[in-house]
Amino acid sequence: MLTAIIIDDELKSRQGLETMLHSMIENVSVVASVDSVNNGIKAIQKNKPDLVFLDIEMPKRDGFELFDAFDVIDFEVVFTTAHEQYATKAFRTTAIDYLLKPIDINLLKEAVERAREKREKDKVNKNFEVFVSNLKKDKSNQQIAISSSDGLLFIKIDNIIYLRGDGAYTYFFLKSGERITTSKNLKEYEDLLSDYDFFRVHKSSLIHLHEMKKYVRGEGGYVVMSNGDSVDVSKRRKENFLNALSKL
Amino acid sequence: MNESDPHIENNLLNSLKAFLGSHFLLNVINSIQSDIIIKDHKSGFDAIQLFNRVYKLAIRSSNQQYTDLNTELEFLESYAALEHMRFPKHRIKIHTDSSLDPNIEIPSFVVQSLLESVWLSGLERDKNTDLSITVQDNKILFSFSGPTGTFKIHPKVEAKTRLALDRLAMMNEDTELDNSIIQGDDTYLKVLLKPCS
Repeated sequence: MLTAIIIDDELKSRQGLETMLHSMIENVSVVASVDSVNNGIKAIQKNKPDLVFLDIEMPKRDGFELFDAFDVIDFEVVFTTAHEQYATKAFRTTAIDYLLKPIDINLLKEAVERAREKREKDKVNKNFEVFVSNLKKDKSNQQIAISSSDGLLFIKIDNIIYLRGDGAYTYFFLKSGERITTSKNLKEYEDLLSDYDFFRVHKSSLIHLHEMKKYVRGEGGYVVMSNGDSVDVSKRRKENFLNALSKL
Repeated sequence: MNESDPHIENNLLNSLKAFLGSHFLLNVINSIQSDIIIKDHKSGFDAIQLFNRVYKLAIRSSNQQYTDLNTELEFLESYAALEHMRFPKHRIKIHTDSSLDPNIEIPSFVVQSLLESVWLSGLERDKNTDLSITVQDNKILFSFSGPTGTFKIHPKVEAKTRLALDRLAMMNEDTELDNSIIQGDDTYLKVLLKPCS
């Protein structure tokens, strides 16, 4: 059963979508239906849904602002809107689909199935990555498995300088100069690399502490990595970051 | 003024296109679809009736530079009722001076986009917002004002509002009205009010 939340400022629109999901699509349960981004954030935190149907243009805060509240987007997003012009931006965030109102039932069914498949695939991949990673935790030649479009790529942890997150994607910056993109969010790698002296210095950056060349003080400050790239340290994480450095 | 000015006709056609493809109408259709799905037959029926009225009046408006006040008011009231169906906690109230001749002709397809701007701003602020429209007989004169004498075009309806204001400017070109011209910058329109006679 896929759990879903609907965020839309129009009551009729929420009622219609909920009824479509309930009566025309199998195995979807709407666990909350709310009228604003603020209420949506609370509902997601409370219910941890698999899928969020999100309107874009709502009074006070638009749908895209929802993502600012989460370090990790651990749910699939289907935008539901009458506005065509946001499609590109939507897909750059985490959108699995973009449905134009009035909602076409066939496209809605496809969107739900896509979300279901992605949730199941993510679950399998995550389990496999953890399994492979554990197998390789002999501390002498540690590697990490990264999902790519055609399979899994194994990278030595020592070869990673830092990782940068952008919505549902993570970019690996390697000593070899390569940049690798993977469709997993940064939080997943933060968990995976927690035992290997990596630190989340910013909402969008996870650095390998052994690959730092310099830390420049400031409100949060920034670090210069071994490849010369600068990475901001957020004000909120600065204290924990300095503690982590003192334990190296 | 030339009644068949191709620029004005083209503007009217573009205004119609903008209205028929507007988010407002698409959301109304979505709302009607919801009424059908949730079996709220009364609401669905009422919405179809209003939608039908708005749709026909919009088509008619796009064929003529001027429309009589009665028809325009019917268009606006139907539009307002549809918005109220979408957002039942809010309502547009239209007050008309009873001394006005209902057959007075005013430029067509102008007021709705202004009204929608005010409505959207009001929804965002969750507060009452006023728009006053002065119509004077026998002249091409509209004036608009918000509570502070300025009127902000809402970005969601900017394109079609600009079309309406461009058309008004074209229609006013040949007149000698001295204080009905709308001056604006990118975000605000400052409107000079002409006192009602």
